[in-house]
Amino acid sequence: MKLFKVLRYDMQRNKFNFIKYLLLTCVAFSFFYLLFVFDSFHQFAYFLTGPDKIDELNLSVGDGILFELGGSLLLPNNIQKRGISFPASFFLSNILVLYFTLNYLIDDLNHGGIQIFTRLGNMKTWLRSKCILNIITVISYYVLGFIIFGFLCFLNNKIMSLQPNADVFSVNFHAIYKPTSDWKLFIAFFIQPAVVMLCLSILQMTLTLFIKPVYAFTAICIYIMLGVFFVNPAFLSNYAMPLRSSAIGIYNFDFLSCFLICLVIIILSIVTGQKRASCMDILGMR
Amino acid sequence: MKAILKLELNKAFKNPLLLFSIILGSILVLLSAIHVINGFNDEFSTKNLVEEVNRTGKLVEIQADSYTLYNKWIGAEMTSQVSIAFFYLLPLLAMLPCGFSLGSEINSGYTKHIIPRCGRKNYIFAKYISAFIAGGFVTSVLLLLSVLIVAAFIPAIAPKVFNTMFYPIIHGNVLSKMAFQRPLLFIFSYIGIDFIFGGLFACLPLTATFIFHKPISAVVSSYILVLFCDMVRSFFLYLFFVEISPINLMHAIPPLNESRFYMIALWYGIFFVLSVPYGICKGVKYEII
Repeated sequence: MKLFKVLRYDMQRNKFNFIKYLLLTCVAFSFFYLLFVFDSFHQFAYFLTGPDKIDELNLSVGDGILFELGGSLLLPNNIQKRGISFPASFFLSNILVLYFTLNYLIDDLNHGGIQIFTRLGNMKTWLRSKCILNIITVISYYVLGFIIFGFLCFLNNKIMSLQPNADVFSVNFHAIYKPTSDWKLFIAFFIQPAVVMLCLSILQMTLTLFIKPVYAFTAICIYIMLGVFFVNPAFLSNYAMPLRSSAIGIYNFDFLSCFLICLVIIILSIVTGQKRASCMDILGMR
Repeated sequence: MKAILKLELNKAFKNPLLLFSIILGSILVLLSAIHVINGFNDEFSTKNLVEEVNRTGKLVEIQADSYTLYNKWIGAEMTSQVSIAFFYLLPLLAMLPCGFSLGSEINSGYTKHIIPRCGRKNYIFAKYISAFIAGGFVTSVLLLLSVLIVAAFIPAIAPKVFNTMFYPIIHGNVLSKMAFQRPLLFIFSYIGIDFIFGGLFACLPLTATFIFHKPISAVVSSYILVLFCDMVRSFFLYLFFVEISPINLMHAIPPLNESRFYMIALWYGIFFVLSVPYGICKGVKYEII
């Protein structure tokens, strides 16, 4: 009951921020969609007679997601003549989540948070409420983002399927796509990135109890960036990239191991955060 | 003005965040240097040269300028993952030293004491100047560090005009003439160009403070803005064969398209307009009570 009350308080306190974040999510995913339209045209400009002929490519929603939010494949053919391309839109989509969830804890600590956990008698419930707020933010970011992306694809006559076009895939990523079931693609495109970013946002929240938020944010940004360049399960951002998922079948970062690793990190983060919060000196807090 | 500027510069350069930026950037610079030095040692090791003589019976002319300081310092090297990561993090590193200062001073009430003593205009101008210098300093020190480390291990063989495979600067690129005639001067000139980029990036969070009010939001939103500007290149790719991304333009050898002076000047103008005029207008009208 106490948890419910604190959560209600947190949600009321952050409702304007939350609305702002949702609007920003809409803007960001519309921007990603716009990038997809331009990128797909530029990629196939030599095969098309004009920009209006882009529908001839039979692009689907799956193509759009892989194109902009899929991350990158570090295959030798993908390394360009003069260097490695960096998946900036994938990186931006992830750091937006980190930005949205960065302020909840510290903002509350700097304002009414101390009164709340003084009344609660412990900091565990207060911290759990912040975790739930993080979960709600991350889930709503991905749900709203993909709804916007899908809606724009629908308006623009794209095929409403998660199955990418195999020919387009081979041209874009210099790899062969073997068709797989829709639910596997659904997990790879929507669930895996959300689970990874949920884990990283809770990890970031725990880090903010130890270090300044900006250090925590920078550390997680670098961690995500390293995952782009090193295909290794130690870097969780590999799991957040649909292109490296087992559904696409090139690097095989599967959902089960992603879920287990993230679960362990989330539990460890929450336990560490609770321990840290319990021994925090609220009188000496700034 | 002089006293407040001195005070602000003092605060900017004795800031732990400046040290943090330099340490973090130095780690990336060091990793990039290790990558290129290992590559150089593998390519031109005595063992390789002996094997070459055994195989061909003679020591053929090696392409010595494939590994030179001028194409292997972090601003020109684009094959290691670290160098790409470095340039994507550089705007954030430039923003860190002074990005929080205005917001935290407004929130803590420091401005209520300092503004009556020195005036709003002087205070805001001093903030922008110190942020510009600190941001530029972080950027240029890291690039200079890369030049020094790489120069200690890889010879500075002058690049040849016909060897564009290893030194892809073509006619019309920014400072292309200087790149072949005075390559060292070219490096220092490019560090100068990046100094201005770094300085302008550092001014963005000060303006964002007047919009977002929270220091952390000001820094992160400014960084996100720079990433958005970088992605704008997608709208013109293959239609407009000039490098558009400000992050790519910070490379001495742009990774994708050719660099042009007018594009650099355009980004300078955009970042200046986005940060300084609005921030100064808001700052000059800012009521401390």
